[in-house]
Amino acid sequence: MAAPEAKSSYLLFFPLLLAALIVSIIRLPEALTPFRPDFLSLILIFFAVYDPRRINIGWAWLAGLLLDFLMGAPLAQNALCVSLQVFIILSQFKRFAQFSRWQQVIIIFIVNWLGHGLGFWISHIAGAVTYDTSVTIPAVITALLWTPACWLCLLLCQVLNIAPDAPKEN
Amino acid sequence: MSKQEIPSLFINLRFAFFFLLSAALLFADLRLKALSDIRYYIESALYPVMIFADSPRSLTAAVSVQFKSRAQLMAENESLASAIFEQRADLLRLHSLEQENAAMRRLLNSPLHETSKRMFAEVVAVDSDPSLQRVVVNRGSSSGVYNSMPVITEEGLAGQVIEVNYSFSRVLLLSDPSSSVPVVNVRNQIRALAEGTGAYDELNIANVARSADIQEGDLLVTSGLGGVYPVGYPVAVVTSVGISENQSFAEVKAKPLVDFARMRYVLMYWYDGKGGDGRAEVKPKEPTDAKTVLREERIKRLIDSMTVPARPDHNAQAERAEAAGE
Repeated sequence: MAAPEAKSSYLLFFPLLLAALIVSIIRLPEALTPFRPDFLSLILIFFAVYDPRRINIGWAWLAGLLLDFLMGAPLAQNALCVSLQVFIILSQFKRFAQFSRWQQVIIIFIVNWLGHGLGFWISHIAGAVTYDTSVTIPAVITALLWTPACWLCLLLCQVLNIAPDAPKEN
Repeated sequence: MSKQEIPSLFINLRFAFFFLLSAALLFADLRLKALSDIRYYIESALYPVMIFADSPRSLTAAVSVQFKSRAQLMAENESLASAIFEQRADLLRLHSLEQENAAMRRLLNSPLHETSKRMFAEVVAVDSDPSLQRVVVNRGSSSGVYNSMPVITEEGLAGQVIEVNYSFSRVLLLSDPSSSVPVVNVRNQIRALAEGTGAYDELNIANVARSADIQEGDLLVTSGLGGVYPVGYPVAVVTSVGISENQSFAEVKAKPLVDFARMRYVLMYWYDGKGGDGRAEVKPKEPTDAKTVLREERIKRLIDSMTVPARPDHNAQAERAEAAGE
């Protein structure tokens, strides 16, 4: 399917990454703060599934590190969380793209919840957090947003004529 | 979507590498504090991104200012003018009281309170992790901000600086779980510690004995112990006092005076817990007259001869003077 003039997925990845980083530090009203969806994980998981040769754990880790700097979190906390999510998707769900939409939503929920749990655990070790029951809510919202995010990204890929990096045939 | 695969060994190795790298970074950052220089430069470079992320809010604020009606502006102007008028009148009294206080402190040989330098700063971002209570303000080391600098607002104490970058710094609010402020009850000078709970509108007053006289509505101000916060800034009002038989301490909750959710501007406060106030300590006048020197010596000898009863009193006085110096 990769036409010769197809463009690299980096063209879409970097603007979306920047947008996701900004959304994750933008100032929300006080009531909405616990419900902030994790767009960064969604974008990274989408690209890791769509184009795993170009964007995988390495980029996820770097993106998470940027978020750490922006949020003033302990360095590598978010980096470890998002790279763990991408790693689980890539290693445990190799046919993720062929799953039906609702299965994907459930998997995203579990993976994202694990990622949030890990982040919570790290900041607990760092001595910053007391126990809070609201860890699950962002994961639910993130999972529900997977379908629209996925459609949007696929649409953008089609419009911009972006194709994943194909393995060399020989 | 693609069906291409990457060998799982490659993925596993890659994740193991990044996992170890993360663990090393976390350890270096949290335990060794080795990365503060790198953080300083990178976060200073990322400041524009923060400003950009704050732009929706600052834009809406600017727009709502633009669309205020003339009548609204006039009413606001009038109320501000009257507020300034009243405060000027209060200030007149404050100046004379300050001078009187200084004179009295000189008489008591106590260190003087100094009014410190302050600087205006604007809150530009709020750390998005809901379990942390920190904000970012737009002043950094370029303006002379230093670590553990007290931050106040017009309503009371807000927190302290925990991280300084070139053009911005992070402020740990009183309500953060890792923050605690030594306070004193204005009504009866009982000392306590106000600890953050992670909620914007609640502080936990720790280790208050069940028999301590602390009531709802009591105002807590900073005690100045610990040397981070200046003395006498209002912190919180006690909202509930719970005493249960099976606990050795009373469960006291307080509400901070500053509304952290709406806080927009803050004052950075230059305060030197030990050096600044200590320098101002008034030295006793040197005796000049030979007669007075003789008399002093005689008194000293007299005191030395009855050291045992005199010592505790003397110590108590010295301690009181020290406590006032804090």
